[in-house]
Amino acid sequence: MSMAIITDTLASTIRMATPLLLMALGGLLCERAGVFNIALEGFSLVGAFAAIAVVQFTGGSVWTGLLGAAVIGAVYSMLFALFVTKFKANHIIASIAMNTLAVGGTSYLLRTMFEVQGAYSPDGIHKLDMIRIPIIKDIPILSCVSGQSIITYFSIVMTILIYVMLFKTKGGLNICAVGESEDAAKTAGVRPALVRWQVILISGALCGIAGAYLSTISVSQFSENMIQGRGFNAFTIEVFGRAHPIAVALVSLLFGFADAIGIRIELMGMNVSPSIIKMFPYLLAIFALAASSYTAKRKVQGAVGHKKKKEKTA
Amino acid sequence: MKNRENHKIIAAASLVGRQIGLILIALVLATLFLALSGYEPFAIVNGIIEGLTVDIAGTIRWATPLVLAGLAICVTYKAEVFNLGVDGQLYMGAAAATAVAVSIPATMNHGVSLVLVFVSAMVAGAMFAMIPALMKVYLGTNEVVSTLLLNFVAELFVEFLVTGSLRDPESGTNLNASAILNENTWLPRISYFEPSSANIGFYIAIIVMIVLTIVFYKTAFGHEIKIVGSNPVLAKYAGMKPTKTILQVMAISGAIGGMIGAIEVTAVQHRLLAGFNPDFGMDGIVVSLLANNNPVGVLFSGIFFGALKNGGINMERITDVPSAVTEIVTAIIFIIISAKFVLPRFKKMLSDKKEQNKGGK
Repeated sequence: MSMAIITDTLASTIRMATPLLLMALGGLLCERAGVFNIALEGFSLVGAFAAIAVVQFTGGSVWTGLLGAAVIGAVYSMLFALFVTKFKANHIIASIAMNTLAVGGTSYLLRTMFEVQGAYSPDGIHKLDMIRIPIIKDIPILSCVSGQSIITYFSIVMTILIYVMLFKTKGGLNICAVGESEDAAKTAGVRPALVRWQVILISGALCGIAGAYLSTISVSQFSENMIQGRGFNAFTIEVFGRAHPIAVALVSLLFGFADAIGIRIELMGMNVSPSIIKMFPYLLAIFALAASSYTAKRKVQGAVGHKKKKEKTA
Repeated sequence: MKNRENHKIIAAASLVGRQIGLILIALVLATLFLALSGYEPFAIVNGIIEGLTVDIAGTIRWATPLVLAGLAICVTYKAEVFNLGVDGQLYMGAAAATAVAVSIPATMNHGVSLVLVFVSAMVAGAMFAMIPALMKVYLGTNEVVSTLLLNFVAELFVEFLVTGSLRDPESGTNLNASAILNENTWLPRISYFEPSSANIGFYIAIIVMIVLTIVFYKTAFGHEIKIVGSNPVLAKYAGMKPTKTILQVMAISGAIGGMIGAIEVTAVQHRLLAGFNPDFGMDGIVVSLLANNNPVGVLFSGIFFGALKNGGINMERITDVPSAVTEIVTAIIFIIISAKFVLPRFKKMLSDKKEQNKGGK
């Protein structure tokens, strides 16, 4: 394989990983605070629609679209937060409800606001310029990092911010405390409901941006159900990365690679059915899920006999 | 004794009342929603009423897969297992049904070929459900995510079949479908409801419902499912094997899922179509929840959701109201049901009333 193909595949790996990383970052915060959030899918779908709607009504500016998607994503996630914290809803069922509402709500609004069915592309969208990083863009292979959209760099910054927030600040400690033991956190004066509201809202905003990335940067249109299970994949990424921001970022790249390799195979005109290629990320996700539960099980079993040893390493 | 029975009836009646209240809340919200966006506000309510009276045939057509999906969910839910993979199991069942149907000769006896088609669909569904079940039992994998992911794999697998080996060479470039099946593999439609595609799958659904009711409430296995679901530790002490029970309920659930696939292929479409399933499995969750995971209740809640779906489709055909509004109604019912606040408050109100009555006496 030539250098150009490798660089190209790596660049599309990063492109595909970006929305997954944003969703997974939201998911890992929820996981840390003890919220089982598979509504990432629905939040992102709402974000994807909101971005297109805002772009349409503000005369084609993707910037306002991204901002609008973050805000509307967060507002939408408030419903989930309300039911999970206030009404003690079952997290799984509430998540599925949020996903169903997102599918129904966006296709309803698509019909009502734009009077189309299936898909809509706003007229006169000004796409964002890709950012070329000087020097790096001329280094072979490493140049894949250059020429990405601003959201990719934003997601990297967010990974570092969330890492610092989780492990170096009191707020992060509170989040982990709520997830570990609600009662202990309460005794220490932390309000679990408040912490959960915060993480769910942040995940809503991040998923909103991820959805906007898919609808305004990857392509320039909203189509019904366009998240295609990426939210579930992101959840798997977060589980596989053990809710650690840096690990989650690396796993996102792995999933991005599964997408990118599929695109590469299709481009090379190999005789593989596109349906099989589209399966790659899901198969990888199932494998990752199995692997992470296997290692988790072993760890738990090991921990019984070696409690002291485990404490030392931790 | 009689007092106890009275109590049971009152409890059941209050439950039914609560669920009906819940449906009404969702419908009121949806009506407001329609009014706000400038559509005919009562379109959805009218659609449901029509579906339960004039157009009962359409309702039965949609209720068949929904009731079965609800039953598939309630089997596992009783054992505290979330099978969100009914959609995937359904696709696998449909694929197996089609594969068998195209390979048996057109001269074969109608009954025999139908049995062959249905058995293979159920086996395929059950086998596909074994993947997440085995992962759960032996690796401790959370079945919620694994089943969701497998749905995409199954859907793509069907797409792979109908664009590849099972593709009808005579169909156009835009239609990804298998050839029309031979008539000896068609599941008969109910002649009374012609020309609707309401089919005898509805009777199958009722039979499955009756069998499950008996299994749940009259057999040791049903008891085991409940104990494994409510208290796995106790189940182990009592000599039961929770892992075995989990595998069994997932197999039953998957088999029912496969059956839905076979019914949709052999009675409604008469061919395998890519992406033919409008998320019956997901709707099955809310069907089962609305029925409080009771098989008999599932029949009624399935018919309600069938009327809702049918009403939405009719509504879109006649007026310009998007049928997606039915999904909004479903989601509202879903989210209210997920909350625990309805029941305890209601209970408190009831007990307060009882005390008041006692005080009065």
